[in-house]
Amino acid sequence: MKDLRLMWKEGVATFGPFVQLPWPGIPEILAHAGWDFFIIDLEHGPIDIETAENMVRAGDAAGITPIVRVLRSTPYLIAQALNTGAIGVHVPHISTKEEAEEAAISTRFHPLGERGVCPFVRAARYSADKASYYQRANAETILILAIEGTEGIENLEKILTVKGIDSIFVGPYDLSQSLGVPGQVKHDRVIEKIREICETSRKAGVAVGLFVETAEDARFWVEQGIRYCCLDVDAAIFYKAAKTYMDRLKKT
Amino acid sequence: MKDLRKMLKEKQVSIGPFMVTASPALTEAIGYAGFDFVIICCEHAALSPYGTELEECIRAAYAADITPLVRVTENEKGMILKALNLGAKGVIVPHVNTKEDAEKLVRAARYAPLGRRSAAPPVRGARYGFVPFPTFWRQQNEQVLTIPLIEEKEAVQENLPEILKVNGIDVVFFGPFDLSMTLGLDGVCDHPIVWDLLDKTVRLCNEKGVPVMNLAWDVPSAKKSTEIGCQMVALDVDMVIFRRGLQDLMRKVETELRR
Repeated sequence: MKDLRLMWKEGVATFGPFVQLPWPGIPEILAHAGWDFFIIDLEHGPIDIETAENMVRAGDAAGITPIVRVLRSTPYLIAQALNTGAIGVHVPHISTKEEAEEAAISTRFHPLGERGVCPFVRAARYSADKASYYQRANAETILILAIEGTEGIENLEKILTVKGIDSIFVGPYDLSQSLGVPGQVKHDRVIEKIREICETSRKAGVAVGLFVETAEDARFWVEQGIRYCCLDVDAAIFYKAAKTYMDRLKKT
Repeated sequence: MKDLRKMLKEKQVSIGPFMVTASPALTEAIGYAGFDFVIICCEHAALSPYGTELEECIRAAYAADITPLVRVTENEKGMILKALNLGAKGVIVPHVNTKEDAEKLVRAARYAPLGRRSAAPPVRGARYGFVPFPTFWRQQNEQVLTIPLIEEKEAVQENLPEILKVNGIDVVFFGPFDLSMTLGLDGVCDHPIVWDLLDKTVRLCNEKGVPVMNLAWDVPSAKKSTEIGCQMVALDVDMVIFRRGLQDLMRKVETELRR
């Protein structure tokens, strides 16, 4: 399984899709295809926590880093996501420093935070891990905060002062709106701003994430400094492949 | 994940429990506890031999790095195919009584030329097609353990020499519980007649180079099995392990808290 935090520190870009199809075969297939991570999307899509745990298990079986995007930033939802054994938690809609602090505290055990403690969950190997669990969890858990609104963009510098953030995920459409060019995600102003965010974050030891839909866009944004590259959505990847297939059939 | 076939070749004993709770979590827990294999049981558990739950249990074994064997419900090619396609490293078939039963098992568990297992490249066992089918075909025929359970009087006392003539039987699993019933011993596994039959079975199988697995219900019976020459031991059942834990705890409650 890839150590995303280490890769980000070394400046290596990582790639993974959002997964909305409730089937544990998907993470295994992504692993076999060489992807770095996958994000089980509990914000959008129909996946429930039981299926999510089966999907995290599949990630462990195949060696791909599991991340869970929780429905919203709430301590118990973050704990529930991490209890499945997910390495990363991707928290949506963070707008203020206070919200960032709450998420950071919910993600790690004492002394770094106040994550809900239960030593019997899958993350603790059903109690096999004993005391080493808390240290290991604190050392390996990754926190990604999604800054998706104008307010969050404005507060970004303050948010970056919060300890324990591994990545800031930026919503490009919201960013474009906050810069007065709504929807123009490749406007010079947006590109300039993302470069700036990447530079500031890099200095703070934080990787920047972005959602992109094509390999070409992924390359473009990685060149600007993106390291947590959320590339496409499983259902869309399947749709595109199926469509390409059908188009080829129609031609012949 | 332990390579059971290699362990057999190197004369190492491997040990693992039955899992009848149909639980991916307990499959992992068995792995974390350090057993060599887990037998995911479809015969007696509320676990469909065809579907998604079996897939989750097998996947859980991969996640916890413990070798999954599946005991199917009966000697039926569809079940054997499903278990192997989902990634089981071996298949255990209950109540194999005759040479014909054994041949049927091998036919279902092995690809041609030895058997007639149905071929499909995009299955979980072949990493959904990422392992090229010729490679998968070869790996499966070399690695999958085909294990008949001989657990009835006629199989153990009469037909074993014939069963052993079937090419493709990797391990013979001796079933003392059902055997003792068919012998009129009322399910008493720990009976001298049963142990004597295990001894004879081991000798007969070892003459043909076939290792034997026995069912053990505690550590002494497991030890006795290995002393007789069994190379694999199915030790206990997850539900029984849980029940025993509950009883131990309750006994302590009774003696230390409710005196």
